[in-house]
Amino acid sequence: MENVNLNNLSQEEKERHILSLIKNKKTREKGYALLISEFSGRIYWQIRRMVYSHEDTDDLVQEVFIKVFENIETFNKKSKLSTWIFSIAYNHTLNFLKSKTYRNSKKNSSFEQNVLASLEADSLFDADKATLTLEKAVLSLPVKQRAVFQMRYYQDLSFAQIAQITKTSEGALKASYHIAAEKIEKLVLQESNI
Amino acid sequence: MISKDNPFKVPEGYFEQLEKRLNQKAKTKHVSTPRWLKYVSGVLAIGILTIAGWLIVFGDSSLDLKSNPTLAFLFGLDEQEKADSLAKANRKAEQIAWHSYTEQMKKEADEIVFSEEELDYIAEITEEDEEELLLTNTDM
Repeated sequence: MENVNLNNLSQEEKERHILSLIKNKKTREKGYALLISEFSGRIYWQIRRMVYSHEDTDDLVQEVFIKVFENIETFNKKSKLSTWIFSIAYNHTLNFLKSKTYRNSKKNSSFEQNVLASLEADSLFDADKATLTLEKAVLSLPVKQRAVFQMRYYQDLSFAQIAQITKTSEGALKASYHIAAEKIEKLVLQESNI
Repeated sequence: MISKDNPFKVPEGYFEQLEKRLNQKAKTKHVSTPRWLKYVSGVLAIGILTIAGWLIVFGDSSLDLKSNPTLAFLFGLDEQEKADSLAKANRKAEQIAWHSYTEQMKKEADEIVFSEEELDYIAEITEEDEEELLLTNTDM
C-alpha cells in the first residue's frame, strides 16, 4: 500500500496507512514525512492558540514532534493517532504554560498580561478591533478552559476526541465549553458597548 | 456567533521550513543507537565496572583470593576447603589483632617512668637479665 493516493482515504485510513509505513523499516522515512505533512500544521495552530507567541510555538512544535518520534513505535493504537499526537501537544503546552506562569509570578506579572501587552505590537498578529476584543476575551479564560474552547471552536474537534486528549469526561467538557462561550460573548458585548 | 478569522500570522515559507526541519529530526532519531545495542552497552559497562572494582579491591597480588571465604564459591571449593579457608582467614585476623595489641603495649611501656625507689626495688628482687626483661618486655 505504498503508493496510495491519500486524498481518497478517510482520516482514519490515512492514519493507519502512516502507521504501517512507519512500522516498516523500508518505508519509515516516507511514513515520517507523511506524518509531518499531515500533522505539523494542525499541531502548530493548536499550540499557537494557547501560547500566542510564534517563537514559543515553533520551539514547542519541534519538542512535541521529537516526543512523537521517540514514542511512536510503542504507540498502542488504543486511541487514534491524531488523538495521541494532540494529547502530547496539549500536555506539553500545559507544562510550558505552567512554567511560564510560575516564572511570571516571580516577577509579579501574569502570562496573560504579558501576552496582551505584546499582542498589539506583534507583527505576526493582525486583527481588527473586534477580533482583538475576542482574543482578549479568550485569553481571560482559565488555561484548561481556553484549551477546550479553542480545540472545539477553532479546531472543530469532537467532544469525544477532546475528552480523550484532556482525559476529562465529555459531560464536563460540554459544560466547560458552554460556560467559556457565554463568558466570551459577555465580554465581547461589554467591550463593544452593545 | 463569533468570527473564526485567524489573526495569527506566520513568517512566509514557515510551514515548508518546519517540515524540512522536522524531517531532519526524524532522520536523526533513526541514525541513533538501536535499542538492542543500548542494552548490550549497558551490560558491558556494568561488567567493566565490576572488573575494575574487583581489581581495585583485590588488586593486591599478595592476597590469596582462594582464602577469602566470600569468594570461595567462585573457585568451586567443597565444604572442607571452605571450612579450612574460613579458619585460615580467622587465624590471620587474630594475628593482625594481636600484632596491633603488642605494638600498643610496647608504646605504653615506653611511656612508663619508674621512680628511683621502684628501680631500686626491681634491682633487689631480680637478677640483671630478668631486670632488663621486666623493663622492656611488655608480653609479661
